[in-house]
Amino acid sequence: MDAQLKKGILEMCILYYIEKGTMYGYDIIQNMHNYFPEVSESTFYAILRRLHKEGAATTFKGEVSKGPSRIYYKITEEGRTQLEQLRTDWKDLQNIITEMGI
Amino acid sequence: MKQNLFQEKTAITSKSEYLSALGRRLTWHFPFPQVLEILADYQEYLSIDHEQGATMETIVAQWGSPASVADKLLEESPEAKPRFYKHLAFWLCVFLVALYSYFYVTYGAYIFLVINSFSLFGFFHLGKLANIEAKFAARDKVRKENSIFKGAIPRPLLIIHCALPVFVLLVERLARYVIKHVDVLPKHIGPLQTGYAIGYISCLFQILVLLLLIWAIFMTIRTSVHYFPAAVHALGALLFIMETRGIFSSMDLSAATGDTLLYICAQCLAIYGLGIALAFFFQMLLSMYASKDDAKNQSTQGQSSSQDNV
Repeated sequence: MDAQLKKGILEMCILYYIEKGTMYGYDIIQNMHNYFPEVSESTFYAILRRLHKEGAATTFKGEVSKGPSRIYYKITEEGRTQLEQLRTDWKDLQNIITEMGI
Repeated sequence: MKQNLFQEKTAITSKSEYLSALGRRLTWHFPFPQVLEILADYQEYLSIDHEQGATMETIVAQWGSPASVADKLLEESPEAKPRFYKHLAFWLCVFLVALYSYFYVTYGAYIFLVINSFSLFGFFHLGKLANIEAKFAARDKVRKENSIFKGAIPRPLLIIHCALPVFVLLVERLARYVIKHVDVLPKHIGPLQTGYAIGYISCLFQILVLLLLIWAIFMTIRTSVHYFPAAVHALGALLFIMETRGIFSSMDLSAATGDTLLYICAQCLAIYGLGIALAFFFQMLLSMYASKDDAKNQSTQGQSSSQDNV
């Protein structure tokens, strides 16, 4: 698959995933990896990190009874608008493809 | 670049090795606080995998090699500066200016240029790399696996540090012998002028020392920042031999007086002394980092064990 296209899709999936609720970074990565087994975990980590940097997601530290504190990810308003944009883009693309009869 | 010197080892056998390899790569591209953030995340994720019983092999297969992780992060960070190329450009400039001053500027300028650049690199990078290694501890492994004397000194370090003074001493003896017997030396040895012949002999030593220097730099990049003082030591020795050799091949030995030669010889030795002093300084700096880290580790261990007791 084209790298740019794929990246956009992965980004949308991650945003959708954290929109549903606050998530631990490791769980996001593992779950995404279950859906896309051929994509390495580090790719998801890199995308997650970029989303955080762009302000689409915030992080906070959560304490766990055992071990070091964990970093959790949460979607921001900016992230939500970005997700909406990606969704409409994707639907438009889908419509075009079905219209063309591919 | 990806294929040779900077390629990571294929077999990574421990988490700390993975993290410090990743850290070494990332410091070329990302600002230091970000490197620590990424490493902390990876430490967390890898330990979860580890707890779930994954071997290091499967972990590397899942997450990718440190090199590929760094590449992926770079892909997703368009704002990351190409620091690696900046470093390359910096060293290229140093090399060119040193080369220029070696041929065209008066005696010794290039030596101080090269040594100063090395020290600058040491100051700016040693702390970062030592910090990463201290936090994510690859040091113990380097120490244990590759060492003599109950894990005190890694073997390559010992070889470099012992071989260098021997080479330097041999060249120095040669120089002194020549100076002492300058009046009775033949003008030619075989087809060569005496000065040139001696120059070629010291050239041999120069190559040996250069190999040691390359080895030390290679180990610093590949294995651990704790090889850096050895590189500085080797640099001092290399500059010493270069200077001595330069004097022999450029001088008409029969015309020079013993006194001037002795003076120049002492000057050359001072260069080696400077190298040793700098190496010693960096060694101290590194052991300072290490002891600070040990103290921190002990205190956190103490805390966690006291928590367990509660």
